[in-house]
Amino acid sequence: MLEVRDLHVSYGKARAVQGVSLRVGEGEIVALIGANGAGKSSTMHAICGVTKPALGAISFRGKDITGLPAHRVVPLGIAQVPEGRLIFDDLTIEENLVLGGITLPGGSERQRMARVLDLFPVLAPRTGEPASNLSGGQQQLLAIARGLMSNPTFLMLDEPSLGLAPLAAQEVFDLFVTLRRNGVTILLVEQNVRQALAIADRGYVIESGRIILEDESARLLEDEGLARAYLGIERQ
Amino acid sequence: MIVDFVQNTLDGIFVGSSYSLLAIGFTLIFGVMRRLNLSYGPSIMLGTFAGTLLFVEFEAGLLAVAAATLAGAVLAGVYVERVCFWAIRRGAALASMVSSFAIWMQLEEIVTVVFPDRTYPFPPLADFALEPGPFFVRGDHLVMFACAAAITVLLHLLLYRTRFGLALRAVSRNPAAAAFVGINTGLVLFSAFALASAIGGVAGYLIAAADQQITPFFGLWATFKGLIAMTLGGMGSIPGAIAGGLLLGIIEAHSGWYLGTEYRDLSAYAVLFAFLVFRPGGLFAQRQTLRSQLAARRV
Repeated sequence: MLEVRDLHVSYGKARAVQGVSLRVGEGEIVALIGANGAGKSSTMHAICGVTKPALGAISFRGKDITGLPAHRVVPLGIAQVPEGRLIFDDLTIEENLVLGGITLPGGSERQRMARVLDLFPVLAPRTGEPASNLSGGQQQLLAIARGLMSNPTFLMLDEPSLGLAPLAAQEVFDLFVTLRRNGVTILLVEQNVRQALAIADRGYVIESGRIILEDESARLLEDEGLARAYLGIERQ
Repeated sequence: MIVDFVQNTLDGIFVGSSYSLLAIGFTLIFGVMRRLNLSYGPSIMLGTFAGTLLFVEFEAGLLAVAAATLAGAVLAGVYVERVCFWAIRRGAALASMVSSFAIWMQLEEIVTVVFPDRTYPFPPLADFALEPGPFFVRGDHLVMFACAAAITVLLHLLLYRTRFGLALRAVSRNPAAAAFVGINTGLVLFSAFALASAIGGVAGYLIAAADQQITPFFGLWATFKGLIAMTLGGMGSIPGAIAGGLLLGIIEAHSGWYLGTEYRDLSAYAVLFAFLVFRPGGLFAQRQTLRSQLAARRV
């Protein structure tokens, strides 16, 4: 479904991504694992068109989307839920959702919103409130809900469980499994590596802008070096 | 006594409504870009000269002059957007302001080369006047006020009832998030600029028609009035721009009457100074400004 080949992203002299190649198949959940600053977010930004890649090729369903701006990528069915929520906090919840689907025609908006709100019962009764009224965890849910408003077939999530209480985080991960069942392919960046790999089919480990390891989730969870680097030492 | 006071206040409101329009244009651009466009007044001035050109050379009618003024202001405004804002959209906000000053000089130069005389006539809008009781209201002032009110209502509907308005508000609040949801932020900024220029064009037409003459200094004048009104009201706030414009008009009318015309501008500057000292965020200070002020006080 998505194929990234030899992607390079630079910000001035800083080279954030130096030759990442990855592939996400239809219906998969793929985790992208790595330390802070390894190039995970930059890879996602290049895919969704917020950042222009310096080099490399990105194709989605066989169509070359390299360097396409976000306002042309989102209508293709790609959505990103950015890190740190980035919601519109003085707009209402409803306005936030409408903005999530702003690239699609307005006619189907009511229907799409009803369907998205079905997945987020905490948001449904509060659509008229400003988004800043929501708690941190609920704002994260709103960010995900907003991402779904553009009817994505491919959803990228950047640290979706950041700052969530363990129970709330688990709910979010359960939601991703539900989404996958509904036909959404997912690329996931997570600090919470163990939980991410628990729902993912495959994972890529990225270090200093390069992919250093790629395997099935179960095998990655077994990997000694990975365990030491990212899973914490509490593992036996 | 009381008649004078009411009459002055009325005059102030009527003239102030045109200041409100100028301030709305300023604040619209500042609100979405967080950048100041000093060339706003001069691009309106260019528009009024396009109108006067039709009037002087071809004896064009009212509508044609109005259309030319509007078109000229929008074209000049869009030119400023491309050169000063789009071209350096990633640079410092200060760079945009400084280059908009350079374009100001350029626009003024163009006009003074094409129109070498000091002043040019501009066709009047309405020649009637109303005299309700002891008061006197100029017809063109009435039209000015009505246009300002109508534009305010239309702008409010555009911003709060349409998807374009929502996208514009999204870009102004959080440009990064706006890019993620797939808003074409460049196009939204461009449209906001064109919209602000069109509002400025209407203001320019109404003011020039009321004065029945224009000079190349109109650009400086319009930038001053718009900036002062915006600052009084609160930068980036549309209700603030309206209130600031009316307040400026009322201050000018009263000080002109009670202190003498030579104190008109001085009084306006004194009030601006007082605001900057005691309420720097303006009448409708944005929450953000108030918060940073509070924070500064705590430190």
